[in-house]
Amino acid sequence: MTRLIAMAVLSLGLAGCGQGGDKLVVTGSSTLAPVITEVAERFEKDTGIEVDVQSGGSGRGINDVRQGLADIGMVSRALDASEKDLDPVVVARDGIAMIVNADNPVDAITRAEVRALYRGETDNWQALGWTERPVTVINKSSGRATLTRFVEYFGLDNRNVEADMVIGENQQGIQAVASAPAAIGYVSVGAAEYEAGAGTAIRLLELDGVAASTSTVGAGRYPLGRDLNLITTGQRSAMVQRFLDFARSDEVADLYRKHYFVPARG
Amino acid sequence: MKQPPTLELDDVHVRYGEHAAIAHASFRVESGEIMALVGPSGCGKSSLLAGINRLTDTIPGCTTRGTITLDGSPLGQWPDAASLRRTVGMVFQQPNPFPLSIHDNLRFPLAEHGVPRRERDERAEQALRSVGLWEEVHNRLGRSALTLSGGQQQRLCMARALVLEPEVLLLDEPCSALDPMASAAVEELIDSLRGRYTILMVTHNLAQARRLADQVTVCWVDNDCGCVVETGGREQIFTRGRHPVTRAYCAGECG
Amino acid sequence: MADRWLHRLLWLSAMLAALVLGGIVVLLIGRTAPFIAQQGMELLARQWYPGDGEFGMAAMIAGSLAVAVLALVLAAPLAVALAAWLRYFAPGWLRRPALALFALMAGIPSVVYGLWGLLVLVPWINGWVPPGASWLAGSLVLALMILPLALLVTDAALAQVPPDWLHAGAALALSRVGMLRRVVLPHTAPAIASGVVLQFGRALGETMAVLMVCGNVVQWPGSVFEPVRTLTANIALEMSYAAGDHRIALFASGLLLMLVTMALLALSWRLGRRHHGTA
Repeated sequence: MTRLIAMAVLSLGLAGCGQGGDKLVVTGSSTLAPVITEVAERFEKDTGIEVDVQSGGSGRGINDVRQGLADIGMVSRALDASEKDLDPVVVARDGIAMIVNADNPVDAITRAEVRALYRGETDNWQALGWTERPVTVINKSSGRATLTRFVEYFGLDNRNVEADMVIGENQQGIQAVASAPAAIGYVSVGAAEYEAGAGTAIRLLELDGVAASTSTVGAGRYPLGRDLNLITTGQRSAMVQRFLDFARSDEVADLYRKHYFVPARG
Repeated sequence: MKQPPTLELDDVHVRYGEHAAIAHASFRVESGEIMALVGPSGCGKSSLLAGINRLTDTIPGCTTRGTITLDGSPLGQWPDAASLRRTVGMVFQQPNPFPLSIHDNLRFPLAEHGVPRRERDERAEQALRSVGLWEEVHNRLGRSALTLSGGQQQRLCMARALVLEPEVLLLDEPCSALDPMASAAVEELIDSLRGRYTILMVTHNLAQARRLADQVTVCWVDNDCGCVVETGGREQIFTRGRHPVTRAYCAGECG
Repeated sequence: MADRWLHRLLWLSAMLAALVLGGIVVLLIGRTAPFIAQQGMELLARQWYPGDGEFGMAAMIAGSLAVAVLALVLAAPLAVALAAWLRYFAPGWLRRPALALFALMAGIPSVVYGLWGLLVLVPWINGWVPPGASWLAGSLVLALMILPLALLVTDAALAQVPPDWLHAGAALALSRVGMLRRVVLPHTAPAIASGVVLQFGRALGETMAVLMVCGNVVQWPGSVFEPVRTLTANIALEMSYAAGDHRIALFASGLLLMLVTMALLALSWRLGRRHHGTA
């Protein structure tokens, strides 16, 4: 009983039951959650099976699947060696874009430059071909899949990252860069492309000579790409398998495109 | 000592917006005399007092008309309310000492009026002596004034008015909130101030008016508006009132 | 009859509220006690790298206090001065609409203040001393948030001043500034302090607005222009990603916030009582 109350109070509405019943629980990555919510809605309409999608980060997705709290996890990065117990299904691809304020004339950056910026070795825009102006370095809070992929790609250690600002969601990062002329940050290519198209004052930087866009991500040319996975563990039930197949089918490819991701198929 | 001034009111009206609290008030308080203002509740006595030291200025919509003079010089022409209120002190019905020490109740107004620090203690002592409070409180001047009894508080308020060395005192029912013993002490104090200050005192206690006052003014309510009925010497008002209202009122109260 | 039922209902809901509060504290203690016992002083001495099993919170505790204290230092004197000005100096017609405006401000959700901070304040500070998102930005947003209620509390306290004293002050031709300084403010100080302490608790507990403008870098507050992370922002940023000890560490910081807030509440209550005791 105490445990039950503890769960209810502490995890604030985390669904208690995973398997069983005509209901699927999907939790994890906040990058994936919005699009998977729409996929789930379409799935429900077709099959009548209820799907509960909850955002909370890739880490939570992995955790919940392992503990049986969720049937399917959403993970917005490739699985690493310690995660061999999980079966991933790639549903779409995304990239991480380096973004700057629209007032910033710099339009390309290299891996070495990003590394220097985030290690605090470069702290002025002059070194990158703009005016004398200190750089506002924006980092993600620990635990985020985007951060994990970012430090891995640039060979950084998060302990040595010298940030001026730490943010959580993609949206917050975009807003922060849009309101600070000397800022640099990194967010999902899809989200950044959408916001830039909608007139938000940000610019996506070319990384190592490749433009950051959904088309380069889709073509597999963008270096800082990432797989968006749905994960399960152990034997998949028929219902789970049905949802995974549906999530990769042509029927929902338009939904991924709508969210500026590149569907894995179609 | 300088002779206190004569206070004269000529056709004074006090209005709250459209409503006249008192109209056509005219009388004269002679130098150093005590004038008692008597009459039923709501006849504008207190409003008239507030009109004299321009406390009415602080009430929105309240206006005073007519001429009030001190030794013939019209108060309306005084440069500021502050110097007027220093000359014309006031004590209220409810004892209202500040929530400060007994000593600071007197030193604070002195400081506000620019009296040099070194003179303040002496003037405070003088004021306390003149209200007969010095012997009672001189060894606990640092205690809060709110620890004093009601009668002591009222005498402290008298001292607080006197410490600014006024020439005229306006007393608004100064004894009515006190028990008989305390009331008698304050009454005795007022009696002792005769000759040194020109005093205008509102009271409901006709016996007290008869004991204290040199002159008495009777007010009445007519058509929802206060007015002055008659002014005269104490004995004349209480024994040979000319106006039927005066006779009825005094008979009713004394009777 | 109806009164008695209402009385019982109120009593019941009060008990229920107390029970829930007590339950939360007991649960938090139960959940975190082994972790706290195991970590001990490490919780203060080390840095915050939850991924590496380092859960040092000292910098964030300092961040929380710094942001809230500066907010209070900015807001409280202004609130008292404004309330006193509105009551004793401003034109009479101004007071009611102004108080209504502040009451309205008090009702605005904190996220709105945070958004204003992010879109207006942070870029403004950024143009002055980058990066903009900083201790100062957080304190300014919080100051704006707590100003209205601190002002309304002060106004209510001033309303309790016996008019007799003000009459006496007027009859003695004392300046209004002098009356404020010597009589009104000393008398109302406990009530005002009680309200201000309550607002301090609110500032400490505020999450979203602070998260949006403080920059959230875990470091000791040095300059007001540098970013800091508060305990609340830390919980909001990391809770959804945290697992295992990391999650328990966040609960522990929540417990700490709760205990501090309750202590402030008790202090506020005592100050309030002292005021009634002397009035």
